[in-house]
Amino acid sequence: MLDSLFNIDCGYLEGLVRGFRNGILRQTDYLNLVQCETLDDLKLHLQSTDYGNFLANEPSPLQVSVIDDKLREKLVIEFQHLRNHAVEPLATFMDYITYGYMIDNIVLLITGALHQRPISELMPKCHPLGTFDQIEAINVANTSVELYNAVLVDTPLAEFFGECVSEQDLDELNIEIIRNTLYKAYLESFYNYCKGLGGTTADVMCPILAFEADRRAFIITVNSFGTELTKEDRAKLYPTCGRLYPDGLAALARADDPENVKQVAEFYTEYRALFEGAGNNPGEKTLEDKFFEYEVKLNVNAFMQQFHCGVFYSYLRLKEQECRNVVWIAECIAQKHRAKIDNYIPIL
Amino acid sequence: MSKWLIKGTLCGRNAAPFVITHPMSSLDDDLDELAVERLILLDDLLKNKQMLAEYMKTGFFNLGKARYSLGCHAVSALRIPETSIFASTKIQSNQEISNFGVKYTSRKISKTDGTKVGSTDEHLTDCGQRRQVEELADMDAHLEELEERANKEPINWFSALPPVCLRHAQSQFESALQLAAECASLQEKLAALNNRYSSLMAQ
Repeated sequence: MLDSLFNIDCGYLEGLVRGFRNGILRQTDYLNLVQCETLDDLKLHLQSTDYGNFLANEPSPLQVSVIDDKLREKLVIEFQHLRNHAVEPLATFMDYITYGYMIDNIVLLITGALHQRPISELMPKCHPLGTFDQIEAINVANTSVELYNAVLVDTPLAEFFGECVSEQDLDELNIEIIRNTLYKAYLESFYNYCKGLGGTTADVMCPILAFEADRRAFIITVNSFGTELTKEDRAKLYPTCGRLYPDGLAALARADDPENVKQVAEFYTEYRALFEGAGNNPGEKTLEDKFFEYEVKLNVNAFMQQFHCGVFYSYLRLKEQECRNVVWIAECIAQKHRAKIDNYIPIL
Repeated sequence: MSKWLIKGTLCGRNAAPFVITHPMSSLDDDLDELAVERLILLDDLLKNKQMLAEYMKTGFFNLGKARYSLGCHAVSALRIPETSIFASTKIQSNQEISNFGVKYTSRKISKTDGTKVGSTDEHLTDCGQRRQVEELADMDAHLEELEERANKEPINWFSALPPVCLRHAQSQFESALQLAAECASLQEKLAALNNRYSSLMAQ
């Protein structure tokens, strides 16, 4: 019964996103792209895909950063079109998706201000999906209290800011702590919202968000070795909506080296498989690549069911992975380092 | 120094061997040894340059991998501070003498202590000026503290929790720096030996 009601408000948009999904690059497209010798060749081959002439107005020689920006631009236009036609609860769902980009933009601007970069240089680099009013006022804040009071109190991120407020000066480590604390609160809130929606949306989105939470816990732990981040501070950054909560997170908080992290993953079947064979030696896939692969699998499977909001989230994530793939291939071409050009993650 | 050694007996009597040294033989030997030394140096220089190119290539590749996971704008020139950044390493040049008495300049990389020299003004008498100077000094001290923190770990410009590939890129660039200094020293030594060789050939 609920499935048919979904179509009243969101049937057109679901049809649209499924059409967009069919335009995702396939293996044959990637095989053409990896054979390109120059970035202009890459541009030529992308013209025959859904991207069309998106690089037509860009002057030669092309740069990888320009390709990345234009790929993102196309995705943003599609997302904004879907969002403009969405009604509740899909509208709130799609707004939740944008909060992640808002957090990234805030961190980008604060870091730029810390490094004395002018705001006019930083604004074009912000993700379009994460812009909000008063975003340019961020650079006046020197502490998180000022950041909250001056800018964030009137934004949707205000509710996530509870634990970040302090009088400490904003330096690189504090900014990273703020980023991860905000993201933890955002992810838990999004998880609870999807669970509240129930039905197929909850069935599809809760495992995806749980995996995202666990991935963040693993990556934060591995990257924190050799830095000034203490174990206690690290434990506060772990989102609690994943499968690792509570025992896995407690074990990760005590970890001292990557081997300890791997031992924690041994207790979880899916994660054990990801850690096996992951490494930094030539011929091995990195842990991050394995995580990206698993995420792609979850997001592709989201399209197996109909009449739920998860397809919008999954489409966005799959297109982001596609952008990463194309940028990776472009980097390998630009650097003439073709040995690892096939290390992209196939999607369809 | 090789010598022509002529042994002989005179009139059946045992005679002590006597040595005749040709004046050109020592010059030939010097030239031979210089040539061998030049070839060895050239071989070392080529190997070092090859390793330098390899480290640079792998370093930039790892930067690309870091951009793959963190995003293009996270690992870009945008993250480098606009305020004065100072080098964490410096080049030390020393005059050295090789085996053949040839002088050349060798170069080594060493860490700097990272301190900046500030200026102080002790001759102000006016209170207002002194207060202004104190405020400026506070600001300067704050800026210096920020700069010191920024320059302590440059990798933190891109992320306070840097991924493994970014750390690998940093170590590869550090190794490339050491090799660059080594190549410069070898090139200097080779140039000095070449000059010596040319001067000996002219004799």
